[in-house]
Amino acid sequence: MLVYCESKNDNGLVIFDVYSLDDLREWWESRGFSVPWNEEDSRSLIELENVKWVKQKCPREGKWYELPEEFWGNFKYDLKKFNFHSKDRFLLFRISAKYISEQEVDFVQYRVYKEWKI
Amino acid sequence: MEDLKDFFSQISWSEEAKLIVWDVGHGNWNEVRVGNNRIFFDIGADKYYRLSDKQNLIEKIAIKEDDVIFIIISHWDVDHYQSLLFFQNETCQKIAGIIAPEFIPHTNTARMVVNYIEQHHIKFFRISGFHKSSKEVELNCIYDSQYLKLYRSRSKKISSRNLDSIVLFVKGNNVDILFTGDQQYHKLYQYILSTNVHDKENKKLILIVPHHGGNSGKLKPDDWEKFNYEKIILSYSDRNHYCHPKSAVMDNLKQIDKQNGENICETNGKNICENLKIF
Repeated sequence: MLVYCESKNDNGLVIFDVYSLDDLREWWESRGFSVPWNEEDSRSLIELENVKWVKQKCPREGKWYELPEEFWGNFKYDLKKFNFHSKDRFLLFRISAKYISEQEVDFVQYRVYKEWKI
Repeated sequence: MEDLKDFFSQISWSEEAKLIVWDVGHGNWNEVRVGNNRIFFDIGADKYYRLSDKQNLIEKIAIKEDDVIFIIISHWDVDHYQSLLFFQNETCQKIAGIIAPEFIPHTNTARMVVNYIEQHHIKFFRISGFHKSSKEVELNCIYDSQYLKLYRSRSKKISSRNLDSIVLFVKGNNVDILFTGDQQYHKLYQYILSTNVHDKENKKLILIVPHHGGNSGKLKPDDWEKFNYEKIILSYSDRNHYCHPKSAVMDNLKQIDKQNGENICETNGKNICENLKIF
C-alpha cells in the first residue's frame, strides 16, 4: 500500500497516511480483520509503534513509501483503540499496530520518489 | 500580488489588536484579532485530538455572527491545518479566503480539507514555492503592507515539507510579531530579521517559536539575542511523542531572552492571550 509519512520519532513511532480511502479499504479487506470496513468512517491515519529500522534507513517525514504485504505481516493490530463508534473517538486515526518482529526494516528500499500532489 | 492586496484590503486596522495563541495540544493555531477581523495563522490541532477536544476548541474559538476570517496555512502538516474540518457550514461563509503553499501532498486527510474548501467555494490562494534560479531555499516577500508582511519559501526544489512554507510578520507600533510555522531559524534570521523590517532599537518582538520547540535549523544565539523580546511563545503539549521542546532549543531561547527566559511562555494546556496595543 502506498503511504505518506506524516511523522516519526526516535522510539519507533511512525504515523502514516494513505493516498486514498479506496487503497485503505482494499488493504483492510485483504487482511481479513474481524471488524468489517466501515464506509462511514473517513479517517485514515495509521499509528505504528515499536518499529525497528536499519540505522539511517528510517522513514522520512513528508515522503512516500510503497509498503509490501510482508511489511504489514509483522504487526499486531489493535482495532479497538481508534474505534469509530467510541463516544469520544479520535478524529484522524483509524488503525493502531505494534511491530512484533526483531528484524530491522530498511525503509529506503520502499521509498517512492514520485511526489503525489493535489 | 494584486490578489493578496485585494484580499487583505478587507481588514480594517483602525482598532486595537489582540494576539491569541490557542491551546490546541501539540499543534498550532494562532490568531491576530482586529475588531471582528480574525486572522488565523495556521489552523491546526494535535493529531491525537478527539471529538470532545474538537467541541471544546470550537467553543473556545467562539466564531461570532459578524466575524470575518482570514486564514494562512504555513505548511501542509496535519497539526497545522486539520481544524479547518471542524468548522460548520455557517462558519465557512465567514471565511474570506485561505492562503497556503501550492504543493499539497495527496493524502486522504489533505484531500478531505481541499474537498471541503472547494465544496464551500472558499477563495483559495495557493502560493508557488518554485524559483527557477535559486538552488538555496529563500524566503521571498510576497505581500507587504503597513501592518503585514508575508513571506514564501522558494527554491528550484524544496525537499523538506517544513521548509515549503509561508511565514507571517505583523508590524505594530511598538511590537512586531513573527509567526514561523515550522520554518528554520537561520532562514528566518537571514531573510527577515537581519533585514531592516524589524526596528530592533525601538520595537519589541514577539516570536512564535517554530516547530513546537523542536529542532528547526540552526539557532545562532549571537544573531537572535540582538532583539528585545516581549514574548517568546511555544505552542505544544507535554504529552507529545517527540520530546518537544528540545532542551538544547530551550537553552538557546533562554540565552537570547534578555530576561533569562522569563519572557518564554508555553501553551501546554492554556491559551496565551495578549491584549496588545500593537496598532
